[in-house]
Parts: sequence; C-alpha cells; structure tokens
Amino acid sequence: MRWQVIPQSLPYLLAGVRATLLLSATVLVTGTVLGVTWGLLRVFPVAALQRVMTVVVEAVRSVPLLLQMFFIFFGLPALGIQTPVFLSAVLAMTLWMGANLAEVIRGAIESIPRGQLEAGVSTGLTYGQAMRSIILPQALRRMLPPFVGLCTILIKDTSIAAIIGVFELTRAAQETIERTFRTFELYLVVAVMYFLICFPLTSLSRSLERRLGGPDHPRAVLASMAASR
Amino acid sequence: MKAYEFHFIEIWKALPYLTEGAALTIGISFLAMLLGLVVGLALALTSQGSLRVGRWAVSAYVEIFRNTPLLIQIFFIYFGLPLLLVKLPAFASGLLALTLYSAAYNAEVFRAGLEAVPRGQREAARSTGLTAWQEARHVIVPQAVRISFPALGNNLVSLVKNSSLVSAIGMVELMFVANDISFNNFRSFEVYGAAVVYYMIIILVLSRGLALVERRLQKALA
Amino acid sequence: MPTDRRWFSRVLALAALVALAGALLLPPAGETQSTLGEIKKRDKMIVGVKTDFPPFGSVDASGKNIGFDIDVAYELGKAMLGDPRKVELVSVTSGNRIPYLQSGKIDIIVATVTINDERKKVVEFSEPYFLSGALILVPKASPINDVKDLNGKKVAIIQGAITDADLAELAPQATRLKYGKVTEAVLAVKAGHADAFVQDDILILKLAKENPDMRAAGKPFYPRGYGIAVRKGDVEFINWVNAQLKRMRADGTYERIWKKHLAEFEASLVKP
Repeated sequence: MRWQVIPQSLPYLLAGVRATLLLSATVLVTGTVLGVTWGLLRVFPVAALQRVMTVVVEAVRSVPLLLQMFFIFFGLPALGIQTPVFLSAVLAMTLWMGANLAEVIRGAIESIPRGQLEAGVSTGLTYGQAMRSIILPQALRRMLPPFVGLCTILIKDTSIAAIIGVFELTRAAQETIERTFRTFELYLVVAVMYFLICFPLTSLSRSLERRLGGPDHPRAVLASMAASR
Repeated sequence: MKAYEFHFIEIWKALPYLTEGAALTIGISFLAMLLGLVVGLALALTSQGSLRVGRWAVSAYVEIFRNTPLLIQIFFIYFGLPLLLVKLPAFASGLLALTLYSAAYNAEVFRAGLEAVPRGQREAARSTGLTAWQEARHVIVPQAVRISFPALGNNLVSLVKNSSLVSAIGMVELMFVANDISFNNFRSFEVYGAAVVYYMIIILVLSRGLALVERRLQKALA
Repeated sequence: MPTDRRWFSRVLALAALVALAGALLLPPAGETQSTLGEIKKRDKMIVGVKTDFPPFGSVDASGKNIGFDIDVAYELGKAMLGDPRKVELVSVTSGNRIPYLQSGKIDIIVATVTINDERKKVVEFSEPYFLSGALILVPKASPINDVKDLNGKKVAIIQGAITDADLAELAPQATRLKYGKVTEAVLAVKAGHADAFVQDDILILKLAKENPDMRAAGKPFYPRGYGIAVRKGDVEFINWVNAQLKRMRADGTYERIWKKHLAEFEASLVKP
C-alpha cells in the first residue's frame, strides 16, 4: 500500500468536495422548488391534474439517473437543446429530486386522516385555509425526516455525474488514479469523505424521525421508505 | 450546423442487443435482490438479537453502505480490492456491490418491520410455549415480511435503476448496451430514447406485479 | 392505483407515437451557417482532444493539455484566428468524440481518430496525418507475444475504438472487455481482470515506458491513418484543414511537432 498518495492528492480531492457540495446545493434549491410544486399539484383535488402529475412523477422515477444524464447531454442536442455537462447533471438531478420529493410530500399529506380536512371545511374554512392551518403544519413535520434522507441520497448521487464528466469528488478521485494508479487507497479515502459528509445528515434524519414521529413510529417509517427512493 | 437527421430504423436494428441488455438488467437486479433479502433479513435479526457485538456490527455495516455512493462501492470492489484481497470479474463485482448495498437498505426495512409487529404477538407466541426460533419463524418474520413488503418492493425498483451503474465497470446490461450501440452508430437520441422506454416498461411491469403480490399478501396473511 | 397504471401506459404509448410522428415529419433543415463561418464569428475554435492518450493527448502535472494532437490543434487555431489561445480544448474519449461532434459541442476532432469506412459515413476526414498500427500491452511476465496468442484470453479494449472490429477478425476467440477510458483498461490488466490491452501502437509504447511492470508485445498490426474529423457536409472546412496539413508538412511545422512528441518511439513506429 502506498498511503502517501493520500496526503499528496488531498488538495485536489478537497477541490472535488467543494464541487460536490456546490452541485448538491444547486440541485437542492432547484429540486425542492420543483418537488414542492409537483407535490402540491399532486394532492390538489382535481382528478385530471392528479392523473397527469402521477404520470409525470412515475415516468421520471422509472428511469435511472445515469440514463437521464446521458439522454439530456447526448440525446437532446438532436432537438436543438444544447446543455453543457454541469447543466445536464443539474437538470437530471432536479427532475429526480422533484419527483421523489413530490412523493414524500404526497405520502406525508395523505398520512394525515382525511377527517381532519373535512372537519376543517365543515367549520367554514375553505380548502386552502384548511390545508394551510391544519394539514400542512402536521405534514411538514412528517416530511422532514425523509426530506433530509433525500438530501443524503442527493449528495451520494452527485457521484453519478462523474460518468458524464462533471468535476466533483468521484471525478477528482478518477483523475488522481489516472496519474497514480492507486485505486485501493484513493477509493477508500473518497468513501470516507462521502461518509463524513453524509453520516451527520443520516443521523439528523433519524433523530428527527424519533422526535417528530408519533406512537405509530415503525409503520410511519415504513410508509416513508415506501414513498421516497 | 445542419439539423439532426433522425434514423429510427437504427433502433430496430439494435433491438436484439437492447433486449439482451434489458434481460441482463432484470437478471442481475433480481439476483441481487434475492441475495440482498437473505442478507438483509439476517442483519436485521442480528440487530434485534442479544449479542451487543452483533448489534454494533450490523449498525456499522448499514451506516457504511448507506452513507457512501454505490458507484464508489462498485469501483472499490472492482478496481480497488484486487490490489489487496481478491479479484472478482465484472459480473461478480457488480452483483456483490448491488447485493451489499441492497442488503443494507433491506436490513433497515426489516428492522422497522420487525418492530412494527405488535408486541402482543410475541407475548402470545411465548405463552403458547414456542421457542424463540419457532416464534421468529412462524409468527414474527411472516408478519414482518407482510408489513415490510411495500418498502421492499420499492427497494427492488431502486435496485433496477441502480443496476445501471455497473455499466461503469464494463458489465453488460441495458445501460452498457445503450452506450455501446450509440458509440458505434452515433444515433444518441434514438438509442438513449429507446433505453429510456425499455427501463420504463421494465419498471412499469415490475410495479404492477408488486402491487398484485401485495394485494394477495394482504388477503392471505391479514 | 390500477387506473393510474393503465392511464400511464396509454399516455406513454401516445407520447411515443407523437415523438415518432414529429421526428419523421420533421423536415431536414438546410445549413444555417457553415462551421467555418461560425468559428470565425465566435472567434474561437472548439477542438475535441484526448486527455488519456499520451503522447498525442494527455495532461501534465499542472493540468495543462499536452501532446501531438494538441499542438496540431493550436496550429489550426493560429492559422484561422491568428492566435493559438483562441482554441478551446474539450476532453473526449474514443466513445464520445463523434457524438460530441455531431451534437455541436465541438467543431472539430483532433483525437487520434482512425479513418475507416464506418466513420466516413458520419464525418468528413482529412488526409491521414499519422500512421498507426495496434500493439498489445501485457504484464512483464505474460506469455503473450502475438495477436494470435490472444485467442482464449481476456482482452481489454476501448469502447468506440476500431480495435473491437479488428480483434473480432484477427483473434475471434478472444474475450473482449470494453472500457470507456484508457486508465480503466490499464487498471483492468494490472488487476488481472484482463490478460492484455490492445490499442494504438504509440499509446502502448508510451504506457509500457511509464509502467515498468508492463511491456509491449507483438508487432504493430493493421496499420491505418489517423484523420482530423469534422461534421459530415463541412466540405469547405475539411478542405481548409487539408490545406493546413499540407502547409505544415512543407514549412517544417509537422516535423517539429513530430520530433517533440514522437522522436523517442521513431524506431518502433509503422513507416508510411
């Protein structure tokens, strides 16, 4: 083992970490905006709209993220749409985040007994007011753990962008390996780096689950696992 | 620049190869899921067991595989391990990586499922004289499986999508085939578009199948 | 739930039909502007080059592109726009260089593109600017010495490179493992996943030099020319490139670049 390759390549790898965090932060913003939009549209009580949103969300969730990146980067130019690598990755991951977040939101909102909404409406509130004052605050608490979980998965999935050439941590590792050929040491170090970034988030998600989950805890956890992947 | 000329006939010519890739994707996903279920269940049971070392080990395992990217795990097993330990060919490396990754997520699901089995069941089982093993096998695990089924099904769908990453180590499956074809006939839009449709079909059929099984399970074990 | 799925498959089928209809009915638009004009207007030439293929295209320790192809690219840029710095280099691989060209991400490929009939269908090639045969890279202790020894062995090749078809012909019993990048293929041989790596002679010679645990085996087989490639139909552009290549040979530029990057391998290369 030639462990000295690690301190020698650390500056380059850290540049990769910065790029990873930048990519993740960008997608976090765009993905959350898209996901909230789609999520709310999904539960809006207009049947046709719900059907369309279901198709859109399911379609996005039926295609691997890697293929989406390839399609956007290599395929779309055929239609005249040119996107540089970073944008292609951001677009693909935004779609991914949006679809999964929409499912999380739907799961959270639907887990609250309908009776509450109906009760609210019967006391004179409009649908919108009932949603805002009764349903959404509760749903928000249930959404939070899986949302943090999605953020973790987001950071991990930025590694996929390396395959189309985006510069981030995995790519930095690959380029370092091109010069040094020390695969074992470098992939190990990079795995540790990802771990150090993701583990705090996973722990946060878990402790949020514990604090915000009710007595129905295990089933709620399973329900959110069934919704957000 | 000249406008792109679509040659959809290329998809027709590539259909056999694409279908082969799709079959391999389905194959490795199911295989990895099967193995991942067994390993995941074993992990979950260990984490509920009495050995503190066991609980800690499972915890460490799950955390490692859930907090590192699958792609890095795949590269590490295929390119990294040979330097130190063992050299596995592409298929075995990919299968191993997918199995270990899915086992970690399955373990979490099983754990929640086991916890969700009402306490009353365990006490009732004990009071009728069943041993811990019998109690697990006949009472707890079946119910845990039924409760966990939707989440496990979701893990399988994820696995099918994640299997596309093994293309990065040269393992032949749908994503690899799509790349191979498009790098040789230069019809990126058509070929990647066809791959998109293939994945959608696979996952659509898979989801419907899972929903069907789920309904049967509810009726059988409720 | 069932209603959603039925709906989904219907919409999917409809979408596929619409896409197909639209594509078939789409009239192939004429040329908006020639690439030559676009480059001059942009005042920048975007060239696809290799970064994993020394001595034609690689990256030095400071991250700068270096190599034979890189110098040729700079010469072309200087000739058209007056300044080699107006050349933007984009890293490509054997697999994605033509898709990059076709999708407009680059104007021209100067990346060890071997001229063959398949590729001639989709790009315009310049006159050959280098002659290269294929060589085999093996671990020092390997018994492989000839392309025929590859039968029954696992051979690493690069996706999109001509070696795929070549080996199918010359060593049909060899198992071909395809990798996207040169490094991955070399790693595969080092890890024992593959028994050999077959690629252009110049690359193999360079890799054998840089990796003392490996050696080059066999004699260069199937020699063919490298060409500079532009999009199909860019006849004006390729004619200009050919004129530049002619000029470079005449005024000694070609010789200078050759000496700089290839002199150390002169003896082992295929003579035109």
